[in-house]
Amino acid sequence: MDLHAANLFKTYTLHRKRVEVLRGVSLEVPSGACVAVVGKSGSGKSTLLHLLGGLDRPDKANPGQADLGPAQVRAGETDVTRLRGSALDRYRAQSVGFVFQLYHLLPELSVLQNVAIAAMVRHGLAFGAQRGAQMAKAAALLTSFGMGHRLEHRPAELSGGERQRVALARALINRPLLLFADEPTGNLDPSTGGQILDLLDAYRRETGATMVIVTHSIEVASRADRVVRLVDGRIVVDQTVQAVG
Amino acid sequence: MRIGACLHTSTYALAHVYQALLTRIYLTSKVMPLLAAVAVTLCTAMVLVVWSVMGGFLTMLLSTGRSMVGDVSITWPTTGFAHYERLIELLEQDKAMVLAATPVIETLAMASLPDDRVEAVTVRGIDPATYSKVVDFDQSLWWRPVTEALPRDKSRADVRLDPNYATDLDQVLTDGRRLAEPDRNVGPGALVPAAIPGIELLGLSTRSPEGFYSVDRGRVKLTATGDVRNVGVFAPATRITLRVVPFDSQGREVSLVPGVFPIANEFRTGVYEVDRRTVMVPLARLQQMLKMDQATIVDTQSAENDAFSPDAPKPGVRIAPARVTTVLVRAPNGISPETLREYCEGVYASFAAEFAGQVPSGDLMARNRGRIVRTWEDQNATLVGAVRKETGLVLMLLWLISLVASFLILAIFWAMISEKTKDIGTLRAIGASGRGIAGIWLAYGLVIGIIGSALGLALASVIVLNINPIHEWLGSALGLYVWDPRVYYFATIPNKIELHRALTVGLCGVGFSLLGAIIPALRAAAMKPVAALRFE
Repeated sequence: MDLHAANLFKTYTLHRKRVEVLRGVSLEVPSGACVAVVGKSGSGKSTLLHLLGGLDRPDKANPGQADLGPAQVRAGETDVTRLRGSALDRYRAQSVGFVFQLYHLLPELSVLQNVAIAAMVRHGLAFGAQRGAQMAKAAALLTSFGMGHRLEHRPAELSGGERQRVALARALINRPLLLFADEPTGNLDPSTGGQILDLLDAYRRETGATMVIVTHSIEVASRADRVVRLVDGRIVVDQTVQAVG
Repeated sequence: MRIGACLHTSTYALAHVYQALLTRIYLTSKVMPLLAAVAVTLCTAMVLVVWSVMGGFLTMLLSTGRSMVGDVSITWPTTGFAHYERLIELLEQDKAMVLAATPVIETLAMASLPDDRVEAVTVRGIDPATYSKVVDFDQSLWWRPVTEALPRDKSRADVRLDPNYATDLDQVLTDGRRLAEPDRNVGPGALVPAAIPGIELLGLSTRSPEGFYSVDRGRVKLTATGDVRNVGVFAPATRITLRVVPFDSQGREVSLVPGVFPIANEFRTGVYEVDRRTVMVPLARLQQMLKMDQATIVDTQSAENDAFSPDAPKPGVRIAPARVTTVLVRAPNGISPETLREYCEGVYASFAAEFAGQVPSGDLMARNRGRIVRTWEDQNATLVGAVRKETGLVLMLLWLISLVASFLILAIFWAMISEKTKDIGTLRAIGASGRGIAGIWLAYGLVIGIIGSALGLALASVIVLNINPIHEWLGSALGLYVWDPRVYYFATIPNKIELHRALTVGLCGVGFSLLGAIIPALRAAAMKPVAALRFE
């Protein structure tokens, strides 16, 4: 699924002060490609990810940039910026997978439940065999990620790498064609981080999913097809990894 | 295609499995919601206990009235009214409306009791045969042989169960039913009119916590043949002296008339004030005492009158018919007291027209509507109204207090949602809708309400069904007697739970829980996913 973003502006008001986070970002990611977004803290990387994934909305228009045209995020044939309410929820549930730096696992749920809940959210009402199938699918995925022995554990009982594998399984259980990872290895040692990246690569190869990864890590960025550098809410570099060197 | 999309959207709007999962997990992994459930339990139990007792009191008051005075009474107090046999005949013509009617005199008297106390009492003159058809007179006679112990009399300590006293009790029951005792001075077959006081009046019997009455051992009974026997049960040889004040038909006081009555039995209605202050005697005897029996009136102003002639009445001499103060009427099942009252008012109007000038006129009755022809509720309108208002007021206050449980749930949920903000952001990120998030907390509130209300109903049932033993225990252990029968009429606290009350309270408990959950749920639903994910 290709991803198209155009004229994305985002301004927050913090302590009565306007903070312009994104200042007219446009981005094209072909279907199956992997783009690494790099930049300093506060440069707007995560905000861009949230807009692409439908977690947040771009500002409608920037008075100073009216000639640029309307803000738009399009995923395949879907104009995400025009989605509202349950349609936007459905977009996130069916087409998008998120991986966060801090895992964001639900602490009261077991590992298995943390993964299965994404399938439950996507499929809504499920009874008997269908529900059992969801749990079996989650268990199989976790087992393939080397977490088969931890299914009934709570997140607090896991290491950082294990938690991120669970978070990754949750993001992938619905087999999304768009995957957004916000510093997925930021809290992990290089070896463990490498394992997570291997899993992401494997998934992309298998499904042809489009991937956008926010990272500070050169090693992570080097695995992408392209690198986009954000400075003060603007894209200043958009090159292939080879070109970046 | 469009229908399919709609169905899909609808499925999204309905309760999802993840909501059930999270509701269950939050419920079993947190202590705070259990505290909320406890609050709902206590509020529900509190309201149901109070409503059951106060509402039960009202129900008992109204239902006991029927067992004591029938459905409607037609009363002309003090002087009474004549030709009551004809009124009863007219009333009983429509069997669909009137099951039976009975004449009664009710008056005040001073009673000299066996222990030398003198008490003001209500004396009721009755005709046992017809009175039994209107009120539950026979059932109210306490001293009788019984084979089944009272529910709480596990040790079968009630003397009425003792087969050794069966013969004596049979005799006492027979005497009670006819309001007369064998007259040992006259001989076999002769009877003397007797009285039946309420069981709390004489002070010879003590009510046990189990509900039966025990009497001092060694009391004597004078048998029909004049023998003196020691008995362990009620002692009918005791006598009571009643002093009544008769009035003539114009309401003028005549003189104070005493009457001595052996005591045939005792009655128990369950209404403490009635059992404490009422004595029943034969109607004919009370009519004599009150000068309300049939009498020959001699007109001493008439020259043609020969007042001392034993012959039949001459001009100037007339018969004053017997009078009663009250006619009690009972309707068949299915006829409401109010319907019967209207019927009785119509019949009385015909009766008054038939005996114009001799009985209180129909107009007089009409002007005193609600005072003469009355249901039991009319007779106790002040008390019933006060109890109704008091019950309503107390319930309103309790419901207001129950709102505290709502606010407690609101506060607990608010705190939990603050704690779970990141989780809410995560759920939104994986596709949960705002409505879905709200549904989690509403379902949570619903479950807490259901659990709390169910436990509250169970707790209230245990308390209400055992309220009398609990009350007695509080009295014996702590000296705390809340239910004073002199104040609350009944010797026992109402201990029944009405299904409609339990359902109402249970549903309100669930409703209050949901009410408390609504605002936090809306707050959770309104959270922006990104802001929630970034919440610190």
